[in-house]
Amino acid sequence: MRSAVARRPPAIRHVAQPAGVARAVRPVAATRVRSRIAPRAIGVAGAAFAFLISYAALTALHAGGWDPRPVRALSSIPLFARVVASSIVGLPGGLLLGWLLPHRAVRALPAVLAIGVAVASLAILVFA
Amino acid sequence: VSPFVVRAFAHVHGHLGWLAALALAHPALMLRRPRRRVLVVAAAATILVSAAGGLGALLYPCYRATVKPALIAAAPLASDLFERKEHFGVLAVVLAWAGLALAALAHRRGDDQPHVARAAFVAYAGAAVAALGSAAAGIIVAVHRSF
Repeated sequence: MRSAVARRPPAIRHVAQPAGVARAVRPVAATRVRSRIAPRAIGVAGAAFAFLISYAALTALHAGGWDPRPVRALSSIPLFARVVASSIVGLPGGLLLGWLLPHRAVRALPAVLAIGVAVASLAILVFA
Repeated sequence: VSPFVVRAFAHVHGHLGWLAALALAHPALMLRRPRRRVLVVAAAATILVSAAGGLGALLYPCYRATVKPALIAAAPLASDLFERKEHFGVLAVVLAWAGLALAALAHRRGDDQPHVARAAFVAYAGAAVAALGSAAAGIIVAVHRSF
């Protein structure tokens, strides 16, 4: 015959760790977050670099009176023609660089961009 | 387009240009520390310089037709300066957009984040200097002749 007395759950006893016993700690290695931004950053900076270099080259060619015929066909205003032509060169150039270059090339982006800015500025100051 | 409207647009363009030059310096200064979040100020500065550049591009054909011949005759040096001004304006707009794209990429976590943020810094610093040069040249040219 079963008794109707409710059974009490056993008390949870907190057993203190004896002093000096270290808890087992699983060593956690520092995980490196694999970057997914590198190819895109290379593409953006590459496009800007290609734009700046082609713009500088077209400015120098214009100063010498050697405007390429396809560039002249883009617009009757040389400034607009140069902007469009440089964009046509820069955008696919950047995509290509982002696809071709290894991820570690992202470290060189600040220097590459600075070189592009310096070359374009020099071309504008000298040839424009 | 009436001369009054063109003159008003030229004034707005000049003021926007100076504002944009100052605004572009803001993300450049903030990005000296690569971990800082600059997306909002970068976007605002880029929109501002694009508006100034767009207005300049709208005015440019009119400028070539009406002001440039008189400027070449009266002050050839100022005319040369204007040529440089418009090129530096293009440089500022292109670098600002490149900087905004790089700043947006640097917003995400990753090992390469500091390098991308530094590239955004270079782009915004270049854009700020180019916009400042363009705005200063614009003032000098406007002193000689305007719409």
